[in-house]
Amino acid sequence: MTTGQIVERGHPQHGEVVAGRILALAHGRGSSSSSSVLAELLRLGIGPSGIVLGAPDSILVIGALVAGALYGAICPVVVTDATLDPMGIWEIDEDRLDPVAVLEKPADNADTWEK
Amino acid sequence: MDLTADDRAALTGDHGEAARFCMELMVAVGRADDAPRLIDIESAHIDGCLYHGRAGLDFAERLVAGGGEVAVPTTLNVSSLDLLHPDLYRGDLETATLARRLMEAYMVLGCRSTWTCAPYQLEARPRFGAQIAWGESNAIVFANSVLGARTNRYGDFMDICCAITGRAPLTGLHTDHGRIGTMLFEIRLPDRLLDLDLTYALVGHIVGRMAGVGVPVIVGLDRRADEDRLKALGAAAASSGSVAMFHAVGVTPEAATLYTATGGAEIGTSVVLDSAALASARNELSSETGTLGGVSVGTPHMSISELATLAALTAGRRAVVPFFANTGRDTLASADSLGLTKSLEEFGVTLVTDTCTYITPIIGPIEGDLMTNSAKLAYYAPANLGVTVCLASLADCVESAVAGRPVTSESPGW
Repeated sequence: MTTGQIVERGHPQHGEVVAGRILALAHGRGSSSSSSVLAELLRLGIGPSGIVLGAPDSILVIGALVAGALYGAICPVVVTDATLDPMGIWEIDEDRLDPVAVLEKPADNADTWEK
Repeated sequence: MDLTADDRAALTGDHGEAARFCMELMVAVGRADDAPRLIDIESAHIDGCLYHGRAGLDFAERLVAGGGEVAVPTTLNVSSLDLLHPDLYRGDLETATLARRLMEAYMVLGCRSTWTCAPYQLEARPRFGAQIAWGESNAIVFANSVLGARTNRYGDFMDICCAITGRAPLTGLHTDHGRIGTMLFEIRLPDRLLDLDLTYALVGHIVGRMAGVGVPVIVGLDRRADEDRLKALGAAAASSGSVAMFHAVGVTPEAATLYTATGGAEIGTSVVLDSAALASARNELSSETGTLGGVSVGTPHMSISELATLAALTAGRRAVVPFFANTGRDTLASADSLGLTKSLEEFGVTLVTDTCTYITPIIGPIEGDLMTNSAKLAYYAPANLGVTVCLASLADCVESAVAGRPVTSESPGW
């Protein structure tokens, strides 16, 4: 985990590093510890820059929120119903982006959490 | 999302800073999930006590500093350390110290030091219909499927937020419509395989992989699918996929009939689970090299009946390779009083409590495959421990440990 590498056996991007990249997932999977793992990656500065989901996943959302609250680490999580073609290019239309899971107040010592 | 006066009071800090922070996170997650409102929960099970790095510890200590206290009976999942057998730990001291601090933070918050991934094996367990907030993927699926209690897949951070606020967003598996079966699996297996523990783990592995975020309905299981076997099935499905609930028609409490399990809906093509499918699943999970390095069972934690079965299989015999069995400390206490512990230790079983061999360095380097009857361990161990694994029934694990080489009697003609 300290390397930010994908270690899951059989994963198509096995060995690749998530740091600074946008993760696109149809949906989350497996361990309910993913929240801590995501928060830890963000704390270490090797987490993804953002996550795009095909279905809501509160496990990943809360990991990102906690990292934001504790460390000011930003990792937007976007849920879309578009087909997630990994080879495609997406445009995010700000007018249609509906920020919902944002902490209302900034945490102590963290930068202001912008909507 | 509608908030009650009490919810708002928590948000403004009337119940303390920890409760305020937890409610703030809860509201954000609830809104992300489109929850209409929050509901009360009766109990919680915390997964966040397993050390994954500094972030989890910072979070827990922040809650302690904020005067946090759980509002409902709350149990704790496995941690990184076996506190009853501390010499088993082979990791570094710094990690152990931080892991210990994390465990203590959760105890200060008022959680019970149960340290098990199988809280449904404790004396007090949720009744049918109870709204609960449980973490730990295998416990979630067991609570929903086998007990008929209601929980979503709560992960680290959210689990303790629910415990401290005593609330959870009304979505998903907390609702009737969220529990309806969405995908059909048909079992077509001979009696020989329905009588075998390993079968259920393999069924779970396939179901998990194919079910995605749906609620699988399995037709063709019968009373031979007892709690221990359903536990193995659920654990496998929660590892290979994100199954949080399954129905086994005629077996689990919300699936007396297929109609009940699906709410009368037509749920499309069924997947047939026959011997060939199981053989294929087994090959997928096993990376065996043919030599036996050690055995690990009890992922999830062995129940008292499983320990009794293991004791019967091993009585008067000796293992020639390391043999680990994970269980909860409460179960170990029962095993002690039944005389099982002594018998197992004479065989050469190393009983591990409070943690699990696949998540913390206990097994150490072995020469050869790690044999297990757990699809969950087989799934995670290669990446976590760097071992090759061989999947076999509990009986074959014992025979192999005695022989010092893999003995898989049931494999020909799966």
